[in-house]
Amino acid sequence: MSTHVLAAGVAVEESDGTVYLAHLTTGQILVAPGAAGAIVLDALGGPTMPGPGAAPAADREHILDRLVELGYLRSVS
Amino acid sequence: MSDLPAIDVPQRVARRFGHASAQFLADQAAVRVLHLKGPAVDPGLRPDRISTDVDVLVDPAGLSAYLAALQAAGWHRETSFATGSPFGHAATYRHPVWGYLDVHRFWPGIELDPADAFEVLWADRQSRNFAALTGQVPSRLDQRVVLCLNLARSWAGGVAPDDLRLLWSELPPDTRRRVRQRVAQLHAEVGFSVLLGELEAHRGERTYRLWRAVAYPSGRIDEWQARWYAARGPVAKATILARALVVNRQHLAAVTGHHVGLQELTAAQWRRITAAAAEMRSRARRRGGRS
Repeated sequence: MSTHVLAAGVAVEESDGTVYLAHLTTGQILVAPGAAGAIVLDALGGPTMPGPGAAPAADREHILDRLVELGYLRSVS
Repeated sequence: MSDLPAIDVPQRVARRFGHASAQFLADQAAVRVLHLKGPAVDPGLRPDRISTDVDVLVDPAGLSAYLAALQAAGWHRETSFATGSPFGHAATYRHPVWGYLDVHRFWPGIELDPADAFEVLWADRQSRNFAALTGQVPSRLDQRVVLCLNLARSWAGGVAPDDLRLLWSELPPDTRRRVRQRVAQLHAEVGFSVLLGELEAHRGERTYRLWRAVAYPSGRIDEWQARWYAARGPVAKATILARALVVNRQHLAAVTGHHVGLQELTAAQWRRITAAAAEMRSRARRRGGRS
């Protein structure tokens, strides 16, 4: 299990690649199962990472929404 | 998306998110908290076990601010400090996503003033990551003291042999000495004596009856008597007396899991009175039999 600070919250990555993302401000848990985990980590990488992670907060939220729309991230009820 | 199978968050992940959420709110409210138990415990201190809730000890000076932050973030209080346990040390909150959180205003067994005790524990704290968010946990020595006192509180329900072995009975003499020194510094001797089988040595101390009632329960009346003895000052004692006699609707709702109407409350009140009367009759008979 490894952990990450992402643009949209904090995440735990399991050994099978699954990423659980905790959106602490909205009180939501999102999951990217299996291989989708790596895509989400790349897309939402922390502010020290190049790419979208360095984008303004509003853009990062937009990226998060798009990841949900595209099915990489799913809300956990 | 709605056709996709539901995914459960593993407990070990959910608990880390719970601690992260508790820390996130503490940071927002600028309140110091120490994370206890579960993933906050140093490796090797006790057997790995999936905890079902998150425990934090809150700086008493920031308690009101922290509780307000919890409420604003959608946490609902399940039990209050007054109704949570005989010690009155913790309130339980629940969040639909993050789960259960026990907010401690002091740790049962530590009788040093709560603000002073928090400073003592805080001074030796260490950092820990909870899902990549940094929180504070007590030192390894203090974790041992906290977990030993927790074992003492669970004494009546039976204590896992591995817990007792790892936390106390198989410790090298030097570590035991340091634990006992810390116990003394925190004024936690009475609770700690339960683990040692030496509670009777503290007969006459303010909290002796409470620990006896918790570790060796003998009835609700004994427990309420013990709480009355342990309460500091006339106001606290009067509050205990009132709570002993009157059923708390909020607590009953938490226990039953539903809203409690007047009829159910009245029935519960009647049960409490008749149970107390039956226990008093039984005690009187026992006394009569001994004389």
